[in-house]
Amino acid sequence: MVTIPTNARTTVRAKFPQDVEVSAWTVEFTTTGLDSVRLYSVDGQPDVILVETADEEGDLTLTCHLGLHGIDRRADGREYRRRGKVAGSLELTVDASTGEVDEVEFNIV
Amino acid sequence: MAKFAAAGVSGSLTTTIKTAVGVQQPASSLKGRVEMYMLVLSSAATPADSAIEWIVQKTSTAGTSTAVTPTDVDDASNTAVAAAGQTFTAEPTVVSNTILLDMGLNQRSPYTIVLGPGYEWPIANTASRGISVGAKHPSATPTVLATAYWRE
Repeated sequence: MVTIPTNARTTVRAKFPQDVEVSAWTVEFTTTGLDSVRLYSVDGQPDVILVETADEEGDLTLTCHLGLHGIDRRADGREYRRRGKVAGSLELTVDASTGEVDEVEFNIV
Repeated sequence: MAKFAAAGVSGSLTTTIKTAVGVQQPASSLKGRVEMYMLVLSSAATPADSAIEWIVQKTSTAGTSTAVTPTDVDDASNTAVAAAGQTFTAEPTVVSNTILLDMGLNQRSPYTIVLGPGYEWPIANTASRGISVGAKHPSATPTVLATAYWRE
């Protein structure tokens, strides 16, 4: 469990095995647990996500998905959602008394 | 080029952005650039003098939303390549340093933004790349409306 501060942006870097192709097309991060958390991606660095916290404290899970993600359309015009497989996750605690945290890393296996 | 429109409503505003309408490239089957050229912002909630902060920003994931079928503005039986969504329950991931607009607006005031020819907001030909139009407020909780117009 990693503790990060409120009202801050913390850089989280996912470390992928060398044989995994990492691109904006195939890497997606999601969070569950705290509605006030917002994610920022960085162009050119698909393995990095900035986790922006607000006043709210609590626990959240940052999950990394590998595979095509987004909205696609079937031949009949109906839309469906693609999401990659869960490749790894990181448990985070948001705590107001915590000072700014340097880059956080977690391993994708 | 074909023109499309999508109208959406946000969830109740909070202190963090709630997207009213998002337009994004599909996950695959990309066909080219998408260019947003007009936005209409308003609120149909009970009128109140709330200073709503509107933010338009590039996104890199689709988030979770209710799908909006894009309107074929040309009425020429065109089908949009881009996908649109409203009332996001999981916000799309925004891209750092890509804010296109950050504007305070009274909740009572509708506002139209028309981008000049050649100065439209493009959405790159990258999977799930998009533009979100959303708003937030420190205490008021109205829903807001946004209609986006684009060509592709």
